Amino acid sequence: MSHLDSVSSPKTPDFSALKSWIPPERLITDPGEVSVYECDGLPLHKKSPIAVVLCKSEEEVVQTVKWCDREGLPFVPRGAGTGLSGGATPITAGVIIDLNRMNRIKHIDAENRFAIVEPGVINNHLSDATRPQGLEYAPDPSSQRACTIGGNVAENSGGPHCLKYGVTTDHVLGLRVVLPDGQIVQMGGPEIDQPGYDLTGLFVGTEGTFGIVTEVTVNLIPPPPSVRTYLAIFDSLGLACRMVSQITRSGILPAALEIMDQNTIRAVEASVFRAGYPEDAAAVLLIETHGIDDSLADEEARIIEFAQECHAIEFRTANDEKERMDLWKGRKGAFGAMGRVNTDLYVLDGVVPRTQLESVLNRVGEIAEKHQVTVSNVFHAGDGNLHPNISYDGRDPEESHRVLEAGKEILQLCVDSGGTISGEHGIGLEKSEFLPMVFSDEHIDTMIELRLAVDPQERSNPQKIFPDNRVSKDGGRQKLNKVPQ
Amino acid sequence: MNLKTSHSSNAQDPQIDERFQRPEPSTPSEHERWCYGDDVEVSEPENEEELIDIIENSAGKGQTLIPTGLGHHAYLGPPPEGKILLVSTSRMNSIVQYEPEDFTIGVQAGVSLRHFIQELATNDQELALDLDPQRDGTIGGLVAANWHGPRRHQHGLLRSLIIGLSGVRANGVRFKSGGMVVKNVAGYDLGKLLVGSLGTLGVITQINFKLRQRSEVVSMGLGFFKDPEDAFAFAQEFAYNSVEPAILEVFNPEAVAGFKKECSSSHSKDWPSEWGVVWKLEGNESSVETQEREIEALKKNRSASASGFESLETEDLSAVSRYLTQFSEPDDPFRQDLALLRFSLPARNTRQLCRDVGRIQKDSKLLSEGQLFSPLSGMSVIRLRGDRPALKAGLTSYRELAKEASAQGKVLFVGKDLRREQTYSLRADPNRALAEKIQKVFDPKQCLHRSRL
Repeated sequence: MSHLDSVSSPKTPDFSALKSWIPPERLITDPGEVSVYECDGLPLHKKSPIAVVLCKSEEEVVQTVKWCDREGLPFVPRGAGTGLSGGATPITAGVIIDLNRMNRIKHIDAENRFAIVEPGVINNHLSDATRPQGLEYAPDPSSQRACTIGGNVAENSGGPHCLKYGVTTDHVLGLRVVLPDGQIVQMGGPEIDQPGYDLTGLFVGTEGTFGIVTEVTVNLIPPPPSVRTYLAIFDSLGLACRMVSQITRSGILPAALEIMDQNTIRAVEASVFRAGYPEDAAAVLLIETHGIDDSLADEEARIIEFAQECHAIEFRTANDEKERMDLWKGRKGAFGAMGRVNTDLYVLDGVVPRTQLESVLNRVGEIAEKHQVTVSNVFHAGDGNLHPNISYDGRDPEESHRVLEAGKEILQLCVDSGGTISGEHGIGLEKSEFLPMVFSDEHIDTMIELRLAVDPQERSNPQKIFPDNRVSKDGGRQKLNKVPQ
Repeated sequence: MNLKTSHSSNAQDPQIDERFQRPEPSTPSEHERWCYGDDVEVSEPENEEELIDIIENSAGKGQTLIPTGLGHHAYLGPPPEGKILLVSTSRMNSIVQYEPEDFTIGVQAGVSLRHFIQELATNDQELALDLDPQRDGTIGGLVAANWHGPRRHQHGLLRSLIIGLSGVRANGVRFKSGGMVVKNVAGYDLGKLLVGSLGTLGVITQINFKLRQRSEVVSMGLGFFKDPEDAFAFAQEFAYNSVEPAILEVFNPEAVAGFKKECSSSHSKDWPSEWGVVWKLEGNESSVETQEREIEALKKNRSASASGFESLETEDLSAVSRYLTQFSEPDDPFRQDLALLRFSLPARNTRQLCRDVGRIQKDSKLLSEGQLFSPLSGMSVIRLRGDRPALKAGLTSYRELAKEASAQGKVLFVGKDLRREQTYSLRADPNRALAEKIQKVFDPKQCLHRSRL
């Protein structure tokens, strides 16, 4: 049983106003059908919404939001549902506003290198559309073949190549947003020096708590003139981490630095994502550099030196695009491969200073042993973004409990090492109670008050990010929490 | 000519301008009095607790609180009426945590830019902005003003370099976002909100940055053209090659004259006073050399329309870099006859903006002190000189141009006499209502200088 089962549901709403304009096939209220939306990529917590509205336009989003307001219902915006922090889980049994049908690429300005897209555009599809014009959208979350740009904006998603190119917020130039009261605002745009506050920067990563994004203006970049990809193989995870430190310290800025540990390698090699990684290796480090070819050649010489210094047992170089794809195949399929290890997978997302990787991963191993859980590490080593993945059987409540305890301990370890509790998945529902690990009550108050300034009724994705029991100084939140009852 | 980077430029002792010095504690500088009037007090807390006391004690005294560092940006935006309390972070000036191996640093807002640059240089690192080692001011001021220079195209704006930020709201409550790691999505990104907020949301007390290794090699080149159309055509070809200049600017003849004055090589005296294109390459030796070869091909294609191309001599490289960096700031903030405007457009529209600026200049009584157009980032800076009526009329024309051209931008500087009637942004903020709600969270009693932005 999920702890969300105890959250009370609101009164039965009057759907007649909604039905007056939405076609029946785009309003789901059947309990069996809405249960499909009971969680996102984090299956630890589940709660069915009372309805799902499949919006096709901004106007429909506005009408749905206003209807929710009249009915006193909370709403949760949702893209592909690939999020890993429970951000799209409807805790208070409100309405899911599904944005997948808002999937038009509205405009590509190749000369000025930007595009305007609807939130339901799949991440990968954007680059597919712009590539013929010599441009790409840089952020590449691992789920990029399924996740949507709107979801990426909500979570400020990253990805393997964000080491060089930055995360979502670095590529969002402007947003059109339906605020929780139904008002539409346009913030930012292709001109980088905008008047007033950087509201675009503030809104990215607010996990749907400030309203619903209906249009995103994104920056596009030309693909790199040259790419080189390597795989360094180690008989110790610590040595792989040391090589990451060496590269970072040297001032080389690779496009990606990804580590997979032995559990991950074995899961990958036993799956359809088999990439030819040696199964007895303790770790592999995938390195990719982008830039001008002559410059990459210089960097390659230094990278090989670092691999030797860190006692890599093998060093592979991709000689063509096929070999490059082969090296990446295992990394890209790692999460899918881990799905075979057990019935459920808890993907953690913590960040540590890059120099702490080795010691933190040693401690992660100890924590896994203490709680008797199986951890596989596959992570963005170049920016210290760990993903300890715990495979478990979610049908076993005792094991689920141990998984949660281990997860909490690992995140506390990240914080104690000078890091934080999320690098790219967001806080969502999963980590809202952990926010005090990194922020004091005062700090959280400021954020809650900001949230209330934009959404005084806390209708837009309620009870996410912030701990349930946190009440701002003026007591505003306590009062507002009565709304969904 | 390529120049292996060295730190020698940091060693020069800059001249101290006494007009910016606070003569004694709690006394405003001459520049602050010039900007804000005589009814100004200064508080210089040494830590966050003292800062909170000052903020709480000022409540109900009818003073407008203005967060500041050393006051170098006091000219930004219209000044407030009435009594003013400048809350300066100049004594909160420690480097809190520097992790060279992680390429991160956390500093108090009052750390001076010189100290900051020197500290990073000890590890051959830098913040990827065009920071002039001789420039005065504080890190907090840099962030509050969202300062950026011509390297913005390659390295991005300040907003993408900040990994953590903390401060105190006008009600004495602390705020914080981010941390000391380069990737972080825990909580709201208040850092983005505070960058460029000009002290209208509270006092920034600490900023954490991600750093980069200083480039092994830099190289700069110049091209001269009689016709601005040819200058733009040449500059825009950079976008279609694998050349990744850190700086690429088109500038008018007055700007050429401006940086010629700064250069000391005998060679520079012969540069023609025409339209120019300047580029700067950064990277390792092979990367810069490869790009230079590509630029050679571009030069050949344009040799018929160009008056000439130059590689900058070592002694001129720093001078031109500094000139470009300082171009968007007043040479003397006491000047009454100067206006500085920054336009922002989709990059390819800068050519049209240049034509429009030429048309306005022709019809006005304003003189040009230089124009810089960046055809890659879409930023342009226009320096104007004139008497009060001419500047006033000119600013009206330029605001209309911004509207017509769908451009955004800022009035970076205008003489004191005109300051009260000129808004900071060239165009109104369409989200003012939402901005005011946010501002109220940070300043519920409206103690700060809210209309500055």
